[in-house]
Amino acid sequence: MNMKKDTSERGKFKNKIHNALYHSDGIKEVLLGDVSGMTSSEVRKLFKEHVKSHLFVDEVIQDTQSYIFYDVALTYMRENIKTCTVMMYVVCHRDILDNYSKEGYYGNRADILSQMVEDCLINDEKVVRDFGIGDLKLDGVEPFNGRYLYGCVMTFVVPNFR
Amino acid sequence: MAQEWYLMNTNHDTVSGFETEDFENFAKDGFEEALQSAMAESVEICNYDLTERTPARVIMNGKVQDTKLNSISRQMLFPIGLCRAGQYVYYKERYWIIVGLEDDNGIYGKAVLALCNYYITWLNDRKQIVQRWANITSASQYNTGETSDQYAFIRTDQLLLIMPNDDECIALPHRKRFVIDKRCKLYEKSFSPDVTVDTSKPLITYFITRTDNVLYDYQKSGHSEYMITQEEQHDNDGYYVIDGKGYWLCDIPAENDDKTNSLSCEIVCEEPVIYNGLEPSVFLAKFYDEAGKEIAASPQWSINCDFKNDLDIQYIDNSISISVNNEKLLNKSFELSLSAFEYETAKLVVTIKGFL
Repeated sequence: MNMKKDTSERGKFKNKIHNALYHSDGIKEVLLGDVSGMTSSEVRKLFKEHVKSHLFVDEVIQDTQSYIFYDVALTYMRENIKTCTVMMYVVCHRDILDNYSKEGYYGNRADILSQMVEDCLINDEKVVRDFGIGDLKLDGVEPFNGRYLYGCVMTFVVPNFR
Repeated sequence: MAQEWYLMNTNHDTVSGFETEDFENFAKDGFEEALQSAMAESVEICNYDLTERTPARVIMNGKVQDTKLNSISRQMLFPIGLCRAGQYVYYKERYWIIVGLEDDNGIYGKAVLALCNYYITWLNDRKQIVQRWANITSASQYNTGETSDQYAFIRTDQLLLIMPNDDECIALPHRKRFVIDKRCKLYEKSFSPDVTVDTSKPLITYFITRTDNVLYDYQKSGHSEYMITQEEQHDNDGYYVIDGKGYWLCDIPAENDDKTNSLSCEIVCEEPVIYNGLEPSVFLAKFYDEAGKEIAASPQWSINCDFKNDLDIQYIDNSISISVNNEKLLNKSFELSLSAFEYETAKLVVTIKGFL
């Protein structure tokens, strides 16, 4: 019997997203600060504390840091095609929102971080084609207004074979 | 028995009809409440090497016994999911091991405990000290303790040993030898602080003659049982101080064995992991002479797996750098070996992981 693996994209996409975000120097700078004096394993360990492949509970995180939380949903399944949706929370603590700027990017720290995520997942040709059938598309961006954290929820979609 | 019993036989005429649901809904709560009463005890649930200890409240049954055998066994009632077979329970300053498959009735879980009466010590294949609490019972209760042919009498005894089924216990080889002797504590009292080796004391030693690591394996829990047979003491069985701590051990390599092993090598790395799609992991070769001093040598690396062609390998001086970008290899492992002419081979199992 041919084993169905409809849910495997959840794990596969997470590996790809994590790798893509990790390769962005800009995202590492916003999330971790200056990592030039750190070893690779120290950077990896710190990165894992700031980028999580699951969603979060508001008010539980109170540290004055920036984070990316994301999850992968399979939102629509047809006979041969399914829609894979990536929900990404790009959030920063309110106290550090306005103390970061970078050439070529606009807005506060959370805004800049979301632009970097877009650069990383959508504007990189290799990455954007690495998910499903065709390109990964940014489907919507909505503000996220938590008690301690502020940022946005970015929704990406891509179809894939079942 | 059906939970509806008191609906059928009640003396009261004001039942609402929802009592069964209440019973089901509050079944666990009732037990939780009992755990806060004087009927319950505080214990610790420990893993196989006692490095993880979880405090818990449980109800211990069978405390007051009238037979010798029953007095070293207990039944523990616990909140569902608290513990599993093969774990230790630290109860009243003693370690007990959970034997048999634990289960629950929807209200509480129940497990059978056997008293651990000896802390067994051995050296594993990597020459590391391993210690486990064991439940030891007689498997030859009424034999004479001796067997003889025409000319000599030798000791004979069999014990049944119950230990967890962690990797170290499962890896115990046939005929592995142990010291199992209460007199060890007595001997230690007479040792001066500068003693590092003492093989002069008479000891009772045993070796494994039967291993049952499947009979009591319950997949996500379980314990292992061993039949061990007494034998005569060997010359090098005795007391050894290793890293500042004393142990009673069998089959210790003769003194200077390590030194005669001469040239050795080691693979040094931050962690034996390669993250798929990330920067390469670097493994460094280090070589040591007979005295343990680091020296230079020309490393010979080998990778043992069937997907070597999918790995990106770079050799730089005395290190090897390996990266991979292939999601099909996620969670696969390979063996990395380091050797050089006249050096003992060093091996390391490296796992390919997804970066999450």
